[in-house]
Amino acid sequence: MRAISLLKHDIIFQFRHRFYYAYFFILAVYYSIITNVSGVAKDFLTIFILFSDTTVLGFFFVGGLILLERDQNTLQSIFVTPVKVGEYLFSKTVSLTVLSYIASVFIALVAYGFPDQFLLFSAGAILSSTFFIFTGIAIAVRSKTVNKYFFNAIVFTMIFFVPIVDFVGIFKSRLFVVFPTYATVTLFSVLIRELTFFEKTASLISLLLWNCGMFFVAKKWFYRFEILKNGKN
Amino acid sequence: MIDVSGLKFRYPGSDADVVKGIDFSVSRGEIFGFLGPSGAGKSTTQKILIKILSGYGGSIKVEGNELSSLDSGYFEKIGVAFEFPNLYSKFTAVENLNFFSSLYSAKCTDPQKLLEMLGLEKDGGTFVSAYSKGMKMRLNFLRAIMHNPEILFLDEPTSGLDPANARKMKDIIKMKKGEGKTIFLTTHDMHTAEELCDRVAFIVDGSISLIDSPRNLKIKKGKKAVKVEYVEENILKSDSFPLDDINENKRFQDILKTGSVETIHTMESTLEDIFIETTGRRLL
Ligand SMILES: Nc1ncnc2c1ncn2[C@@H]1O[C@H](COP(=O)(O)OP(=O)(O)O)[C@@H](O)[C@H]1O
Ligand SMILES: [Mg+2]
Repeated sequence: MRAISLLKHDIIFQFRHRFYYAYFFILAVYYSIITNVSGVAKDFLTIFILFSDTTVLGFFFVGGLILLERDQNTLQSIFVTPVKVGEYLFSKTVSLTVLSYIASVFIALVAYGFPDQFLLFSAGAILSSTFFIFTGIAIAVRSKTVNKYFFNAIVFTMIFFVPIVDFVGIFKSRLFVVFPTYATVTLFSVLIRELTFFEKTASLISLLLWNCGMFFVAKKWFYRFEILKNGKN
Repeated sequence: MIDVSGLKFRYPGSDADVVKGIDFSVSRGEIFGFLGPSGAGKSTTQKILIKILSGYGGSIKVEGNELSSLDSGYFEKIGVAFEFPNLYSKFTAVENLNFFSSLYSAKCTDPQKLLEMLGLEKDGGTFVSAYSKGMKMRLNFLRAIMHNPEILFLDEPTSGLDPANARKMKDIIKMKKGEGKTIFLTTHDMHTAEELCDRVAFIVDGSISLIDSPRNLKIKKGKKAVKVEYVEENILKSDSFPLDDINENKRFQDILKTGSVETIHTMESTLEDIFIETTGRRLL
């Protein structure tokens, strides 16, 4: 019941702060890009867009949500109610993941029609989205100002973009496997090629592990740096 | 209800305690006030009691259980009004109240009824971003009481309110006490403390210098004086004398005999006078 209330509230909050308009605009841009290219460029751009879709949602939107709430000073009032940190983060994550997932499916449909391996594609899209959201939360709570947040988010985006190097073929290395984003790119590649059994399982396991780890960090840091530090006011 | 002993607190990264080993207890059904100048550590103490600051030294027991061991069920039982309003600005007052209500398992008071209590009934559909500071403070207070909590924590509840609304809010606080609720409030306003509190603690620089009822303080520490205004050589002068031995006070008698007295008043020390005398600090 409490989870539903939080979720409903988050969706209205995002709507009123015009998150959806911003997202709609981004989607329109993606759409016009994908429908205007073909061949290898299209394959590359589609994977790249799917990948940036999840990161943008994760880093920038969840960060924006937390910074807005910090600004309105509402976190204090939430955490003197029975709401638990996990419930609060869950609601943020679900609301943004749904958005991200719908967008990913839309992009895939526009580019290639209904994906053959829809379940695998969905698992990749959802797990990538949640991972970036957890990471976005962890970064946001460690950033004191909006500017610092943007800086940190861009740095992390760049680090996580490294596996793109492999995808494009500039530099191939097995070591990229440690990047959660390598798994993301691999799973999205199901749209354009067959994945081996090893690729499928390794990617899913990698993303699952990264999700668990990052959720743990996000929850801990959120409590420590966002709630307890709220003595600021 | 609340027993605090040897409470100490230091903000992370700071090199001095802001709460320096304080002891006090609040009984069920009591209004207990923290009276002190700004920066004394009142809000910090409140934040420790409501568990949004952790890592305190000493012990805090709520109904006999150590605060740090209580789970989120504690939050069902407490209502908190912070010093600065914290509401969702792109939501209306009613939406804010409904949202916060939905987070409690207890049944909450109807938002419209709450708004009527502090004269906000016509503003329920207005976005909080369009509220004045005083309106936000009122809504903030209503949010604290809507789930009918056993313990209320009110940080400077009447600050920034006009006299009429401050009056209404004080009446609600008294009504809550009448219902047997326990109330912890902080203030730097002696009138609020005097009117509402069963007992007050004087707090300065993180230490409590005394705890007593405002009435006892006035009896024990207060001084009564007589203030006389009189005319001497065509100039209006005034003087004051202790009430205790007024019948033997030569100077006072002399002034009376001149027949030039304009006014005579008895004066009692205010809580602030007593505060200044005890702590050597003003309540600002
Ligand atoms: N987040 C914080 N970090 C460091 N010091 C703080 C913080 N919040 C308050 N203080 C300091 O702690 C002292 C007590 O503050 P506070 O409890 O807000 O006082 P009061 O409510 O009595 O006005 C002040 O000196 C204040 O500057
Ligand atoms: Mg204060």
